[in-house]
Amino acid sequence: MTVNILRRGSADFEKILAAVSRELVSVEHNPAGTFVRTPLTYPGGSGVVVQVGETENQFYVSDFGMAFEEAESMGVTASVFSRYANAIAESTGTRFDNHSFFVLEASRAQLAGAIVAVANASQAAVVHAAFRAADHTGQTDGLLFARLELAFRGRNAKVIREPKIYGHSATAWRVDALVRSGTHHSIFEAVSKYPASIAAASTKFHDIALNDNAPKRFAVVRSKAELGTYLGVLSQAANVIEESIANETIVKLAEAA
Amino acid sequence: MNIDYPSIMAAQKSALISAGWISDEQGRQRLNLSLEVDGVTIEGLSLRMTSNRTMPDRKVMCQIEHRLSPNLVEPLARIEWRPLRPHRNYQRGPVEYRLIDIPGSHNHSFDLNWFAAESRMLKENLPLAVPILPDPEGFHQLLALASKEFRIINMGSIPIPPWDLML
Repeated sequence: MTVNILRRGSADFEKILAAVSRELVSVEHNPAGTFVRTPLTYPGGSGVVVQVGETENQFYVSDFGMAFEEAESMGVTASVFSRYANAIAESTGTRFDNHSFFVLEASRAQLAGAIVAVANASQAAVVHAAFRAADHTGQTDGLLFARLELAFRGRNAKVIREPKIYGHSATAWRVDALVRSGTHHSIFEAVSKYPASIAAASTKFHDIALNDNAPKRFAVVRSKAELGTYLGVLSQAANVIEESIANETIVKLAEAA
Repeated sequence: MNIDYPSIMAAQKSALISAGWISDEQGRQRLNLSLEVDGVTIEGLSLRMTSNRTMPDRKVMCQIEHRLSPNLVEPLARIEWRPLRPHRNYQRGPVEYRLIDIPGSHNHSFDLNWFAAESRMLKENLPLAVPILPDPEGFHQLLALASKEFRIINMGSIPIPPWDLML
């Protein structure tokens, strides 16, 4: 991600930014290895740290199992974590060994990229875990937003958390997230399998759909299969996608909306 | 099972120290102890601790948690002693620690992370923490601090993790 610094000015300002850039990344050597602290954070606020080692002119990078530890603290079991960690490893070009995300045999030129890839994979896995945990307690809104921010990171799109969208009835509905990508607008709403959640989302989608130039609507569910006949209710006024859908697909859907 | 988290956290508790540390092949060590209040072992409530065999006196985590289902845990309070990862609060919590990196030991206390207005924990795994100052000098000092913070009277009896002292 590139941040445009609009203000250019004094030497002090440049010194501050140079110091801040050093604060964003740091390195710790201890008997267990060398650890690089990245600017990324997991959903709970812990920093993403990766381990880097050297083997005969090549380097390996690992998240040292820290994504799994984070997920485990929310009750995610190893088998469940492995299920989506393998998919994340595939999409980030890293590997997962049922404990850690890692990149083996990175050259010196590839080392920075390998650190970024492992850190991103580790963070994404915990976002998934948190999303999953929250879904069980009906608290998916903030995590859906985090997931969308991850999907649209670095793209020319804006993800807005919990905006109010007016329906045809002039009712102001709060939705979980709105994505603006150029002239395309999409709303995303996390929906659980329970009737109350289905009914609330469906009412909202129907009212918004009646507007001229209504934004495209996406209901995000954990599993379409577990919705049963409610899938048909939900799909009357919204596209229904599963939370395990690839980030690239979310982007394509929003850009086509 | 629904339990009243503020009452449970305020109550004096004891841990059933029936098991020792368990290690896996990656060097991760864990200890999981049920908790009781007034002689009643509370369903799903436990003290979980983790450490790493290769990191003596580092990266120890103590957490009180409530298991809601086989795959879902509600963390209620956590202490991280000399973690590898810094913690950063978002734009909330104590003003002096908002958006500030806390690089060393820190305390995700129950009171900080309990959303009283809605009678639930804040979302996203105990997002608020404050530094622990002074830093406990050793494992026993950590247990003493956690015992007081968590109101678990017998934490001092928990054995030291079987760390590799020589690499």
